[in-house]
Amino acid sequence: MSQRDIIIETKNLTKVYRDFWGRPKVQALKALDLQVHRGEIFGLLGPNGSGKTTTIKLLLGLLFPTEGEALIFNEPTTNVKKNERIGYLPEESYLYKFLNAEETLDFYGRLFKIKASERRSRINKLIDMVGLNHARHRQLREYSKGMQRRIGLAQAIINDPELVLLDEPTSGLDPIGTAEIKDLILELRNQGKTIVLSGHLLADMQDICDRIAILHRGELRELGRVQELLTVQDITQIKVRDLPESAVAEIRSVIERHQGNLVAVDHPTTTLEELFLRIVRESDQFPGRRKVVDRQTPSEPVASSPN
Amino acid sequence: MLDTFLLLAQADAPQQAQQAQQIGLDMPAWLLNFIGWVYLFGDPAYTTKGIFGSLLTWLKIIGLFSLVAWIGARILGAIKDRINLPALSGIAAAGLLGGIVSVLFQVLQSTGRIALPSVAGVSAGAVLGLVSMLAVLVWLEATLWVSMSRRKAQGDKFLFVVMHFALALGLFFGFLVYSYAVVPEGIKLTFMDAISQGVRIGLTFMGYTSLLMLAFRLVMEFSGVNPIRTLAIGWLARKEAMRRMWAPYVVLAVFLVVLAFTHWFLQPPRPAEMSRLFVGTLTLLCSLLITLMIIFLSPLSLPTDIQQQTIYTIVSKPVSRLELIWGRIVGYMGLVTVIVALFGGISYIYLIRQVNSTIRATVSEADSVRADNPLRAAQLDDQAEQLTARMSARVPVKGSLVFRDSRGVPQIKGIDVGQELEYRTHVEGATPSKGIWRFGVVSHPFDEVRNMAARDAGRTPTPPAYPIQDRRVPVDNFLRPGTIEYVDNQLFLLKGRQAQGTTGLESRIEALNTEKRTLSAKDAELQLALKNAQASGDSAAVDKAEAALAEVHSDPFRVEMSFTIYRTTKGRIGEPVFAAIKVINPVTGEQYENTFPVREYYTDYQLVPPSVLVGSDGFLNIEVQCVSSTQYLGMAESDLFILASNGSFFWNFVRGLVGVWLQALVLTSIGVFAGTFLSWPVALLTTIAFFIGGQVAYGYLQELAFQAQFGGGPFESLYRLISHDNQMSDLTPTVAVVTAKTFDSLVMPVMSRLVYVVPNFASLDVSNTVADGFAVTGSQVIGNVLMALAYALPFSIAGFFVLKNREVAA
Repeated sequence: MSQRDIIIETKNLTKVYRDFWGRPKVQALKALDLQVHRGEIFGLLGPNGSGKTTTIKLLLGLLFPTEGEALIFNEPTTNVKKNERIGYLPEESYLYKFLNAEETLDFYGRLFKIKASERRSRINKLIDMVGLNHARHRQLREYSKGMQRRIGLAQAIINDPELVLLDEPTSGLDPIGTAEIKDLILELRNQGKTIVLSGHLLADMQDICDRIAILHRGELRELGRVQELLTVQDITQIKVRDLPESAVAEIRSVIERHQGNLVAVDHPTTTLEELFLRIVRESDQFPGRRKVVDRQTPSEPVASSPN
Repeated sequence: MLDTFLLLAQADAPQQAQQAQQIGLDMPAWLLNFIGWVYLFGDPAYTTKGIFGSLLTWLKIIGLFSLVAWIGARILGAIKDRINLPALSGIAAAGLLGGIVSVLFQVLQSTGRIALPSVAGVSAGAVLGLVSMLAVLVWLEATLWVSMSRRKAQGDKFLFVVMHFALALGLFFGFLVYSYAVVPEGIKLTFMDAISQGVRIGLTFMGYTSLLMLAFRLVMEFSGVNPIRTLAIGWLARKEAMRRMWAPYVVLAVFLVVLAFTHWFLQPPRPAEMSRLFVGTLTLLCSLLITLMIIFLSPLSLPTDIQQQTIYTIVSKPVSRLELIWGRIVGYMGLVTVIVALFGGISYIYLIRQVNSTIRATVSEADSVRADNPLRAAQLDDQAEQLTARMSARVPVKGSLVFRDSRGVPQIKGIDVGQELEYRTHVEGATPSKGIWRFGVVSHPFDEVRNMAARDAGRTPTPPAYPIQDRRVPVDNFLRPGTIEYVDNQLFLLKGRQAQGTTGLESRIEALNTEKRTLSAKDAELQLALKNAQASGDSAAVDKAEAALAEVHSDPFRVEMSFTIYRTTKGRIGEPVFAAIKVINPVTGEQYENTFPVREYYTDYQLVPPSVLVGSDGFLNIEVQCVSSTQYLGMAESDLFILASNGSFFWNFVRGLVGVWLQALVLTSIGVFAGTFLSWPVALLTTIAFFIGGQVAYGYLQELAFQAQFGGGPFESLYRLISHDNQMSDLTPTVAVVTAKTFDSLVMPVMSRLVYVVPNFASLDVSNTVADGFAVTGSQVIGNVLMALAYALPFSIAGFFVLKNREVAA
């Protein structure tokens, strides 16, 4: 993987929140090492307080790391210029409630110095895309939470960004809205954009993420391709068609002898929810750092730290 | 001692070696010269005359401020980074302890309680202090270096190293002086003097380096500021003010409600004061409402944005922190501009309608009673005239006032009649007492009074001790080209130059003589025609002749006066107090004299023939005496002036509103700055405190800055509070008192300079000048604009640095 294809890279990224007197209050992120590659949908999973949002804020330069560093497009996060290529949807729709949808998008468009005519056309397209045409002139204070998420998402992609950071994009959305957002995220990926999203709605993440990182109490607990992570390695599953009933009990030994039509021999997959709960349980039972191997490239450990 | 170097450095090079030898310096001239320049550039308290000197002082001050800010920011960073160097902590603690012990020793020594031995001619207490300071410095420097390394701040590390070179250079020069310098009396400079001087120069050099770095960073930051983004942020701030805070609507509603009932409660004490009262009140109302609006808008915006986390969606866009601050200022100032224009427009229409209708009513009433009651008609005419005068923009030429008392003795002030709060002093009627206004390039009144006394006694006047003032009358403004007086003036000036030896002026003099002859012939002809017309009673011919004569002559110039009268007796009821005025051209001796009744509370004026100005070169003396016996005429310098021109009231009113706008600009910058690091209630209080400090308490703060208050600084005052000593009583020099005074002497210089952080809001307010009917000059407006920018820019830049180093999501 060339350096150009690494969109986000964190090295020993650590964040400690301190109180007024500077005493450590909570260690929100502990020595996070990860890479996000061009064109993938990367999910940051974890229970509340696991450090997902902190990670995104550190990536955007809204917080400064206590230790380590984060690079986006191989530039430090404090570089304002990199934001021209980034779209960001915050955890809550922190938008100006006194503006209407059109004004909101126009304002953010101006921050990217998009020309007026181009801005107008993008605003129309985005409002149409997020299904807020009927409410485009209403102030956001009158919007439901779902509508606010939609306009929030629209503002995040007003600049046609290369990298989109979505902090819990489906929170507050109904099932239809969630499905639409998921489709939209996949569409963005198909356009070649890199997407980082955080959340704890596991089914949603399982559907769309290419790779995920699971965080718990600020530590990276698992990292890899979703499919790889969900594969149960110690179980072999055999699917057989037209096998005689008599052979079922001795299936392993007789398949070849009976020349049955072996359709598949593989490992069953669990659900992301099961995986997630297992990791959280294990973390609680055995606290401390653990070695995390990127399951995409098993031979190369992606993140490691002393136990 | 070191001043000698500078004096020598400024002397001619060939003389320097000789002079150096004369005062006992054994160094080559070039070195002496070089050290002189280093001293000029390096010593924070030394400067030279003129613009260069002012600029240099300004650079030194700004440099030292940026040095303090840079070090302060690095210390804060180190504290945040929790840098702990166990190996050096002990040294630092010992240094701090040693410092306290050193202060104690020195206080005890200065109060005579102990006698400390000397080490190489330096008090042991001072040596201990020096060593302690060095120990703390070592610890501090190591801590800062580790912090900068951890932050990978290569630029800061580089600057840190350069600063040390600058300090070393300063110390080198300090020791260079120490090695060479011997004062005439043969007293060598001490080692401590050399260190002290070296540190002073070194700190200034360090200030220059940090200023350079700051300037570089700012230039980089400024170059990244985009007007589209800045205006977008401004647009947002404006929308927020209008839709969330409803501020402009509230302010406009209050303004209209107050305006609707203005005529109920605004009753001028005299009819002629109407315009003054209305202009002053409306501008005050406008200023007050805008100030309130800004106080509640500007400090709340950023903290609310941070608190509600809406700032996340802004700072995650390519918006620099400077755009975030300037955008807000631009937004609010856009709003202020609209409101000022709206308020100004409404106020102006209201004023014009009210005052003009009053003037018309007064004139018509005067006309109606003129036949039956001429006295009343004259009073009404005066009122109308005063109202008209106030609705203009008079440009005054002010003289410098000195007095002669009842015995004719020159005085800086007139007679004090016991009215303490009255800034006017008086001249006594029917005595030689008079007020003398001098126009031209005039000496300070203190010098003039001394010289008048010298001249009276037949002695030679002494050179001026105070700065000379330029109060020349702009003669060219009054003498219209193509008139007899203009030609006369030109001739006089040219002949003067010719008498001084300038050649080649003959042709111009001849041409002017020809023009003068033509004009004189025309004047004589018109005078005759006027005489004939008057004799024949042909009013049309009289008007025509007068109009033609006015073409040949310049207009008389107007001297305006507003005196008060202090009556020791009632005098004759109905009879006014009289004053005599004498306008003297000191060059030609041409005079104008008149006696006139003084109109109390009104502006008197005299129309002086333009011939008095001929050849004056801007020099005039105007003497005013009180004619009426036993009465006193009260006057102050600004009570008499020559009216240079009469501008448009509208544009003057606009300039008055510019003052309100500038006040809002400074306040907005302070509010936005406060919002970058404080929560909204604290930011709001801070902004209010700045406003009150700059508007109401500026005089008090000035006194504090100049240390002109009784009772000492904060520590001495605290001691006096505890010990129940009043402000005036002398304190016994006990250890506590000496310690308090020592701390005061450390704290007060810093505090007195910090006072200037508070802007003088009152000086930006020119509404009184407008209300009095005087022009707000262009230079005054420019001066105020520069002053407002001098506050608004640093506050916004300070806000930028705070925001840049702040975690908005923390």
